[in-house]
Amino acid sequence: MSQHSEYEELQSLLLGNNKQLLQALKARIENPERRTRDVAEVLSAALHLAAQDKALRTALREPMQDAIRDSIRRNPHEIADLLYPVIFPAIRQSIEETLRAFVERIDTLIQQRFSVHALKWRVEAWRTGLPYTEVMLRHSIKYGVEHLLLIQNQSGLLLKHVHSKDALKTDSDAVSAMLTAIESFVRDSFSNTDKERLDRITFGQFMIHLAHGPHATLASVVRGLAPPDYLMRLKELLEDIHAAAAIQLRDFNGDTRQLDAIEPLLQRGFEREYVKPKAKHAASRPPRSLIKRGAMVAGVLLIGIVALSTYRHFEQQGIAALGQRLDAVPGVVVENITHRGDHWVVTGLRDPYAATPEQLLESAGKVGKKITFNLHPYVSLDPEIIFKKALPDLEIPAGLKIATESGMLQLSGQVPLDWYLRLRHTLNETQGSPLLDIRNLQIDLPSAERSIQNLLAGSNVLVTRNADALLVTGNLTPDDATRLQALIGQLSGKLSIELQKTAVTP
Amino acid sequence: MNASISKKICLIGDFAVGKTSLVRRFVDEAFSDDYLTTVGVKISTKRVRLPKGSEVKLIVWDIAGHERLSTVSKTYLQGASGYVLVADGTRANTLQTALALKAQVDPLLHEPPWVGLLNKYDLEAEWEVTATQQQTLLKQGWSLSSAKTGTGVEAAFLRLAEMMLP
Repeated sequence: MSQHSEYEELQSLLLGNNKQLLQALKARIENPERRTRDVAEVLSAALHLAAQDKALRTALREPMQDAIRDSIRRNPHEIADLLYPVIFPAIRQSIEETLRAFVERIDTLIQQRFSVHALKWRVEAWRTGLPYTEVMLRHSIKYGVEHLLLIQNQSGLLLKHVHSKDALKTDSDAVSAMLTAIESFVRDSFSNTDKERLDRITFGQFMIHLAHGPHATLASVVRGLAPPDYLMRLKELLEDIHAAAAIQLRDFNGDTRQLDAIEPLLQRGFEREYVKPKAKHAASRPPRSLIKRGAMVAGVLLIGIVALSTYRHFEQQGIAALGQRLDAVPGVVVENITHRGDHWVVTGLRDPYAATPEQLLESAGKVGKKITFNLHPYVSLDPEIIFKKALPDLEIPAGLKIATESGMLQLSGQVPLDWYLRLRHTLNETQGSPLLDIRNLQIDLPSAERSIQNLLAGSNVLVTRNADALLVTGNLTPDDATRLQALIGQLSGKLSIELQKTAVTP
Repeated sequence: MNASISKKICLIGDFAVGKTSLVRRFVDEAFSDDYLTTVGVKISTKRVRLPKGSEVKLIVWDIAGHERLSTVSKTYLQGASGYVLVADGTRANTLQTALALKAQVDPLLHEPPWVGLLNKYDLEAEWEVTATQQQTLLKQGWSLSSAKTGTGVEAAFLRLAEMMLP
């Protein structure tokens, strides 16, 4: 028996059936495909188990970072596409917020620069010794975050502190610890459970909002009154901080440099809102400028209405007066006067013997408008028109009054001597008129005086008035003496002419 | 240079052993003593430069004195990196209280660094703690101090800071 076979025999004696098993295992290990399959079967469970240990994270950190970096370098577009829905809304929102805050701030400061408030703040700045800008900013801020303190739970150690430029200086480490102590004190004193936490502490114009997380508490010192949902936003910010640095928060060893990376995140918590003077009383009353504008518009409207009413009133008065004046014209009847464009239209009736439209325009007087007549012919029974029809050659003198009574024209009033003589002449030519009564007609004495003086111009006489009579004194030529006698005869009963110291001389 | 390292330490001991006086002697800034009687703790801070050159800011929680730790006091202890145990040399029973408190604190804080102070050394003549006891205590990490004269105060805090930042 060879040495080799002896060895194999010894192996089979020692291992029995396990020999085959060992060979199978050897083949399995030496086969790379089989080995890969075996590892894949346990990989996820192994990773899960190993993840509980920090060593795996440490081991994976660098290769994963390299892999991600390499992937981005090779295909940046794909990464950009993946991040687009996350990053762009955040950038847009950030820009919008910044711009809005900036514009509001500028707007507010400009509005308040020359206001009564500005004067009060100057006095306050002078009184307190603070810079004017600081006083102005404090008053123009509706609410503003002054301090953000990220505090490790339990130990009360300050993890990170950011504050606004105008915030009051304070020992933030001590404040952080004291806030934790107070929170613990309140909870231990008034609550039996760890679930109830202190959310807000108020003092004067400050309010501290406390958002609690698993490893840290975020305290926000706010000046003024923050909106009701502010605490919710603070909690969201704390969640983000935990997501970004949960391990550093939990294992904090007192070195704040470990948390420098979360400072930009914490800066996000700075909120402030500025007072908007314009909108301050918007809910209760409209802005003063609107009232002024409203009052101006109302004033203009009122003036307009009054002016229009006045104009209409005077226009109506003018129309009425024009109507009255035209209606008074004999032989004219005005039905109505309408306004058409820039002129008045007079509608009515007109006797052909009545005044012509041109004469009517003179009668209308100045009305400031063009007048158009729309007059239909008719037969008027106006005494003056009847007189005109009866004696068309005689004009009607100013003092003549004409009336109709019992079918007769009654003439009265004082008329010039010449007109009376022409009337008598006409009546004689027409053989008189049974419809004309001139008994009450009187002769105007001054006109008779002038007429007779003219009549006797060839004589050396003087015609004077003496009560209701005329006196003729002087020397008459024989012709004038004849004319005078004839006249005296014609005027018998109408006018008394007395001869006094007269002589007829050739 | 601003200290970027901060550590919380607690001062514990029986009533009237001089903890608050020690703090007042040591710290930079402190809240009012009223907090001790109201909230049961007073916070102070102190920047300490260690011999090695590094700087640390100590946040000192001066916990109101009691014979035993109350629930709220235990809460105040949480997260402390070290503590200062204070006893009054003129009252031996305060040493017993301090040791009892230490027995409570150590398990809570997982055996943190600590320093013990036998206070009121300026009244040495009136001390109830014997010289023999003192020798034993000094070997165990205690030291003598006087808040009134300042003896041993700063050194004790420095020693604790060094222990916390090896």
